[in-house]
Amino acid sequence: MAFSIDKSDMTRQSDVDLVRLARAGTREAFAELVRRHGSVLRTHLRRMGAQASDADDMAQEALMVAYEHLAEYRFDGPFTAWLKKIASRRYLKKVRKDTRYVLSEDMSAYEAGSAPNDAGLDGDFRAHNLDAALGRLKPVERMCVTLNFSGDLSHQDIADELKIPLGTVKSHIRRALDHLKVLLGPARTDVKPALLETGS
Amino acid sequence: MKPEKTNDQEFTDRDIGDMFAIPVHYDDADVFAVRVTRKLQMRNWLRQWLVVLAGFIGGVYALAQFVRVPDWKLDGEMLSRATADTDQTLRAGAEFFGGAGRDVMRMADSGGYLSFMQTPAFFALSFVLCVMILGLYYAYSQEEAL
Repeated sequence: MAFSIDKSDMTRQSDVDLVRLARAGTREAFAELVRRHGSVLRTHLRRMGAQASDADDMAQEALMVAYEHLAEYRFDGPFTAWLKKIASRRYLKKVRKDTRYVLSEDMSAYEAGSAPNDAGLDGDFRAHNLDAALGRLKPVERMCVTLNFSGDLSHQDIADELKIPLGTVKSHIRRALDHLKVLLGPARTDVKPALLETGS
Repeated sequence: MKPEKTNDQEFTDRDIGDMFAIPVHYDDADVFAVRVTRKLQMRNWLRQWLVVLAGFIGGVYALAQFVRVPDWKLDGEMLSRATADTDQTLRAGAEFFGGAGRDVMRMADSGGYLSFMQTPAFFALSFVLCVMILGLYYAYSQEEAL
C-alpha cells in the first residue's frame, strides 16, 4: 500500500480511528493525520521561537518520529498534544545548545526596552495578531507561555523540560501574559479572533 | 463566536489561550503533507530494501559455504576475456579486482581464513565492530527518543 494523500473516507475519521488504522498499517490514515495536524505543529514550533524553515523541518521530523513511535501513543490525550510534545522536545534539544541565550535567567540583556511600555519600544506598537505579539516577548517568556498554552504542558512539566525552577517558569508566564495583554488588549479595537494568515 | 473586545474590556488569560487555539492556515499545507508522506515512503522503502539486500548477501554467503559452482574461478583469464576490446581504464579496474579475487580465492581454498578467524586480531576487530554498532544504535535511539 503506497503513501498518498487519499482524502476519500479518511477525512471523516476521528484522530483516534486514524491512529488505530495507521497502527494497523493503513498509511493513508497517517497521511490524513499529517494533513490534519501539520499546520498546528508548524505554528506551535514557530511560536516557540523557531525560524520558519527550521520549524517546518522540525515539524517534519516530529511527524516521522511520531509515525515510528505510533504504538507508544496511549490515547490519554488529544493526538495533537502528543505531537506537540514530541516537536517541543526536539526543538528544546536543539536550542539547549544556546541555553545561555534562550533559557537564561539573567534578563539583563532584555531589560532595556524590552517591556512593551518602555521607551525603547515604539510606544504605539500593538500586535496585529498573536504571532506578532509573541515576537515582542523575550525568548524564554515566549517559550514558556507557548508550551503552557499551545503545548498544554503544566508549569511543572515546563520546568522539567527546560530544567529551570518552577517559580521561574511561573514568573516568566505571568510576565509574558501581562505583556501580551498590553500588546493585544485595550488599545486595539480591531483584534478579531479570525483565521490568521501566515502562509509561507 | 466570541464577542469582539472593546476598549474598556481587558484581555484575560483565557482570551490569550483562545487566541492560541485559533487555527492557522498555511498556503503550502498540502505541499507540506505530501513532502512528509513522501519522506516516510522513502524511508520505509530504503529500510525494506536494506533488509532485502542484507538477506540476499547473507543468503549468498551461506550458500557459498555449501555449494561450489563447477569450473567457476575468478581469475585473470576470465576477466581478460570479458574485458577484451574495452578501454584501458576498465581493463585496469578488471585487473585490480581480478588480483583481489585471486587472493581471496587462494585464501579460501587454502583454508587460511579459518586460522585468521582464530587470531586475537580477528577477535579484536569483531569486538570493535560490535561496540561501534552498539554505539551507533544507542546514539540513534537517543536521537529518536520521544
